[in-house]
Amino acid sequence: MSKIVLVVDDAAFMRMMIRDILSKEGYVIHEAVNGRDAVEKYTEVHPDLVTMDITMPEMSGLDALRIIRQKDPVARVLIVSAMGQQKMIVEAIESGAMDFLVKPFQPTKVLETVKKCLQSSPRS
Amino acid sequence: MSDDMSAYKEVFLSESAEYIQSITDGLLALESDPFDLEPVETVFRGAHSLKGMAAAMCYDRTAELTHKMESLMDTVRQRLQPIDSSLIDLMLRAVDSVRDLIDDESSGGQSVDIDDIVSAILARAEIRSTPEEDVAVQEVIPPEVAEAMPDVGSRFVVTITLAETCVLKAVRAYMAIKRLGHMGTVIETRPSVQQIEDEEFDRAFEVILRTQEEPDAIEKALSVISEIEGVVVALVEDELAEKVMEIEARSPKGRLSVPKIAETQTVRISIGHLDNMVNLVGELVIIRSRFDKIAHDLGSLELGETLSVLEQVSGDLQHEVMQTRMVPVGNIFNRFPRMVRDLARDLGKDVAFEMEGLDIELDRTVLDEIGDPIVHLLRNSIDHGIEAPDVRESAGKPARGTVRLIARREREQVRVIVTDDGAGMDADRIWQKAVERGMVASADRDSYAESDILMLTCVPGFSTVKEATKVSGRGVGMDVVKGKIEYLGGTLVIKSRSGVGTEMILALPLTLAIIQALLVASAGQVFAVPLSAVSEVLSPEEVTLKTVDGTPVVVLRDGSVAPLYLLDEVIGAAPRSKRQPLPGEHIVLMEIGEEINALAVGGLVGRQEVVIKPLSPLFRGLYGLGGATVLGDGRVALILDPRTLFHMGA
Repeated sequence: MSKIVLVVDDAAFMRMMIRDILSKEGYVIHEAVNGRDAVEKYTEVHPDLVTMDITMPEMSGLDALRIIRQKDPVARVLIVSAMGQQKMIVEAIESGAMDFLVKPFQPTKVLETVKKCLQSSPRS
Repeated sequence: MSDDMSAYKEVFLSESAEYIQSITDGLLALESDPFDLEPVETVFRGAHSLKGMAAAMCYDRTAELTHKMESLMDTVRQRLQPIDSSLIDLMLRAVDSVRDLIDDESSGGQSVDIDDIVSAILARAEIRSTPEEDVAVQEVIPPEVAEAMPDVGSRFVVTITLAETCVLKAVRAYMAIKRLGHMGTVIETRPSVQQIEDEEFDRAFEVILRTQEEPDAIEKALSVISEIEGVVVALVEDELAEKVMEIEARSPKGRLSVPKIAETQTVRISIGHLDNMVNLVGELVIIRSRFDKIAHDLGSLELGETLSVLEQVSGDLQHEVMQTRMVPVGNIFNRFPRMVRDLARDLGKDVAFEMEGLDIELDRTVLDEIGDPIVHLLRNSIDHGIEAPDVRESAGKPARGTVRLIARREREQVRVIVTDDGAGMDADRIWQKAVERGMVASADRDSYAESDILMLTCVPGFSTVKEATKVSGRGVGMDVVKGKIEYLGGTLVIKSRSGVGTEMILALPLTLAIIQALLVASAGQVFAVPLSAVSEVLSPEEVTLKTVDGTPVVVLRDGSVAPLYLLDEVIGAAPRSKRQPLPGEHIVLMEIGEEINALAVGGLVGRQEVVIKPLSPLFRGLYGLGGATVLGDGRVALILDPRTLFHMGA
């Protein structure tokens, strides 16, 4: 069965890029536009993986990550962030994010990282 | 990737415009209330998102500038920067540069230079010169690393090599060390924890680990972390034998094949395609009405029934196509707050600007065209309408003037209204000016209503301002505004009270291409009159005619009169005679703005939807005609233009 990925980013442009990259490989994509939306969608669609932007309106990716991990301790979350946010990435990894990607990214790197996240066990 | 990029460009351009708008809105909100921190977040996030998007598009200069903006706003967020007008000005200037840059870079240009604005932002950020890259990665390395505890198991030297393309090496290293920490005890790292935190290593580092796990398990644990190119695990038999092992770099994995399975939820369509669709739907409407006529002539019930279904479907299709062209007015209104602010500042006016009805939708073509006229009206309001603060106060008004821009849906029209509580227009002064310009005769004053005098400002060449100001005196006058609105099938009405304020009302059609028309006949020809302009049709029996000053007029229900024109005469098919209508002629009352005229027509043909086809350039500009259309029977009918029809002989 196809893996479900929830793509969380407030920029439609970024969601579209990730969607394109992943859907070409057969992943089923759902999208959320901020942290709050991500938390709601997570309970709705139970994705196999979440790609999470950090800086978003309403609720940040970090807060959403924590809530999702609290609700589902084996949630797989991949942080997608911009340069210059290492502190927040470290915080995210402390909070249970599996891995991170830094924008701008190469499609192959996105696919590799997503695959890796899906293969490994979600507890770190 | 570069080929794929063109597909993203359109999305990038439209979304970046949205971010630029939200940044601008945020800055303006911040200016009016520096204590509201929500706009700071909006501006920060906007710059941040733009940075990421621009970097993805390889628009390096845009990425750099937005990055600097983000960093500056970050210091504002942390309250290390005062929020004052110089900050807002600087950021607005930066926003302008971003807009130019995106234009430049998206069209492959190199012309826009960002050095000035970047150094201005850096100078401002001096107050706290630590943009976020400089923030040390604190507590990256878990504390347990430093306090190595004796443990059971073997000691390994784990040499980890990061991929060449690895970004944020310190964070990767942290992930690896953390992972190893779960398997046993990290005794030491080389280079030191501090150096790793500071990214003072090339691609490889070593971790000395005591664990009960097997080397394979260690390798496997690290293999799930991205951007690690190689892991070598060596058992330390003897501490003296401990040495750095040669790193075995694994070759990078082959590129994954990318099958072409596209999945899309929304599609962006160029306006050209939409225009084509409107034209085709228009053709469909024409063919349908031709069928109607055939069915009527044949008297075929079955054909008639099928056609009524076709009518339903094609009607829905037409509505749907029109709907895709509708855009909320907010799309163009949203740039006005910034403009009003800048203008008011330049002119030393204190202006509160309010907008209403941003979600009202208008045809895209109409919307694109009314931007400039609205700009002109707003400029007029601020420049000529709103008085200087001291003048206002001495007139007993609040020092701050108010300019409002309102959109309102009224039946098949959208009204766009610009109001101000400024000085109003002085009818006497306007009249005097018009006399000086030879536009009117001084003696005719009594025959002009106040509203007519105000409309004199829309006659080409009129200007009441003694000296052209840099703002509104640029040769573009009210005549251009009025012309543009009328070109779009709309009307302009001016209401003003001296000392109280001015109201400019633009009444615009919802859509352009297809109109409901009343078909009338004259001299064997069929003409289409836009139904939106028809207020009433009177049969010959119910008309009361009178003659005023030798000119025939129709007496309306409320007792007022409307001048009567004869269709065959206004279109030039017969000489002007000022004669009474012939028996059997119908009278069509047409209302344009606040003016009512009566038109005597030879006969009524019917009511129909017609598609407006523009006249060939040869005939364009002919007064009285707004276009042509093809009727159901294939005949061509000219569409009358009620706005100019009655002024042809004048």
